[in-house]
Amino acid sequence: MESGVVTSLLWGSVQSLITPSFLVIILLGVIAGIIFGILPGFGAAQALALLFPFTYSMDGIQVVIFMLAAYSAAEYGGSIPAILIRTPGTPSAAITTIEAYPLAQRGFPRKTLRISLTAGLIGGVLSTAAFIAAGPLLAWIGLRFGPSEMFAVGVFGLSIISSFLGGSVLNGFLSTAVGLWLATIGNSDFGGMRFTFDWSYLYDGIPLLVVIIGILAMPEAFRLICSSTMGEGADETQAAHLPRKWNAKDRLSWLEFKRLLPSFLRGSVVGTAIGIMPGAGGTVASIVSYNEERRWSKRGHLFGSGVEEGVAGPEAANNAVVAGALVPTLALGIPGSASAAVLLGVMIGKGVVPGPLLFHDQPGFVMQVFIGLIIINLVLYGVGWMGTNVFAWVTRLPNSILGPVVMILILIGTYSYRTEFMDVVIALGFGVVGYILEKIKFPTLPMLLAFVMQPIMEENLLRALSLYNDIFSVMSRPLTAVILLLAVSSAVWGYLRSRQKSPDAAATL
Amino acid sequence: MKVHGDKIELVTATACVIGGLYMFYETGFFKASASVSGAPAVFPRLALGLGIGAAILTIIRKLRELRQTSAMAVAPVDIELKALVFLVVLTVVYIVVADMAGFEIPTVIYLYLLIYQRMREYWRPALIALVASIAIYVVFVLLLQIRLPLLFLPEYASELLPWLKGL
Repeated sequence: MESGVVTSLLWGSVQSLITPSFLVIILLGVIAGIIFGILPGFGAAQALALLFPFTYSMDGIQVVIFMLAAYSAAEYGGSIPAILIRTPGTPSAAITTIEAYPLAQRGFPRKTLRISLTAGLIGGVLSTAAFIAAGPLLAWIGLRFGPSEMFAVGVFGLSIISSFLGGSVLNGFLSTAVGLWLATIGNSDFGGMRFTFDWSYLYDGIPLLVVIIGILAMPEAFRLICSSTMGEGADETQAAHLPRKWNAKDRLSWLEFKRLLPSFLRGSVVGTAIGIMPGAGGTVASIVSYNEERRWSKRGHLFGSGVEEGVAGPEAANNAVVAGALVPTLALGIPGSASAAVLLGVMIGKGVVPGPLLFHDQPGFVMQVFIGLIIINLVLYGVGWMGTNVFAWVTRLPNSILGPVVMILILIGTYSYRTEFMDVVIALGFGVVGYILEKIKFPTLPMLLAFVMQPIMEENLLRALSLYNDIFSVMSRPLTAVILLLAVSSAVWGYLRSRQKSPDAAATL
Repeated sequence: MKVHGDKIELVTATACVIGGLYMFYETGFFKASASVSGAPAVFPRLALGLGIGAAILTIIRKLRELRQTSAMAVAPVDIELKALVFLVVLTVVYIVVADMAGFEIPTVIYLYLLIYQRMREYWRPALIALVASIAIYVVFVLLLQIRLPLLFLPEYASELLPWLKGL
């Protein structure tokens, strides 16, 4: 792609996104994302699952922008309770508590929140800029991918997800297989009905929304309600230490910003790099970034007592992951995380087909996504800067109210998808299974990711089979063979890694 | 209720093998219309093959673990069965009743019962349930124009004022 084309795409995207309707969508997404991110147990993925029903009337790019706004904001929102009450709202904010909570306790809660916010802005903008720069390269690679390579990429993605998203590799593959099978239910484009057993509800297949809500959001609501019915007191104590008035010295000065800049930049690089890897996500990024900060900081020996660098790095990494995770999602059709899976599902539902060709065929859409992400980060910065006190109030909500309200939102949201009560019942069924499987630490995420990826994989496999006649000819194409070999290697590596972790258990296989 | 994760894993894997084999048998009845031979069955068979293979290996691993250790390898986990069953039954009843009798009253009662379980008060849960139900009605029905089965509340914002005057 020539630089002139990139510039015109860039300018066109800016013009199309700086409109009142888009800014309202971004603002709503940011506010909703922060609120859901603050709620303990609710990560970005659960936030996106709950917000899914609000997107039915939006078009493709509006939905993606709204979801990305909520995704980025939820990552920031998760840090608010981590900083103020030592309760990470999202798993990736868990590492933030180590330095942020002591720093806030020393009388600097507002400064800590501002460090987190600034880190998020820098991480988000830098990782987006890196991706825009890499766009032409991804488009060039996209032209080299045919259906057999696309199928192999899908296998590779599922192999990584199965191997690294659960405790046991075998459970990961079992979960993946169930997800792939579930997605084949219904009317097939390749002839007749599959696994419908003459039940008319299944003719159109199980809706993605039902699976997303059932596997991601419903177990969380069950957890909130069931745990709150089992005993008194556990959920009523939050936000006891919220400051009533901010201290005048409690601010992020320009000098401090300059001192923390290397940490912001290191965190951004770590987050972008880790975000690109399917299955890694914000939690891994923030842990790696924290360790890097401890290694690089002159005050490394003080880590654990509230050192600013320990907040700046992981928080930048956290947010840089959002743009990083879009690389495998948009370029390969592999959702690297649950949040990316929801995003991918929404995009497919709106007729946008992710994959290497997306960068070549719809560069305008891709550019809009990334310019949108930069605008989202700026809006998030403004909303976060002004609304700290208001959002901190959300941490006061007890589980006894939160659980039922979330549950009813899930039920109504699922019903409103097609005004079909059976959707709600099926989502409830998925929720029960998901809740029990989560309790026994059986990975459910590969099931969801496989469900989202199946249509693309099957279509490419059958296109490849019609081009090259049989499966062996498909697999022996050079690039396909290399990618499939990588898939097998990652599965073997994942198994060996799990064997190292628990030698007794693995030795029995 | 406390259950052994290992036991559930074993039961799940066994169910996957039996169910997977049956589904595999089902793929033999798919009718192809695409040019590729057996097209609709190709992908489901690959998925089922992967699942059956992983489930068999899981069963072998679990059985070996059980033979090697006297007790289950993983400590029992509490799945809070009583609360879960109550929640699921209440939700199913709510879905059925809301379908027949409209969204308004069942939603308030459903929320009230869930909140009351923990608070053990009468008025605060009732107030919260009422406020939450009204908020849901305003957001979903009036703002997002999603069709919920309404008994007496108006469907459109323009009808709200005349409706309130009529009260």
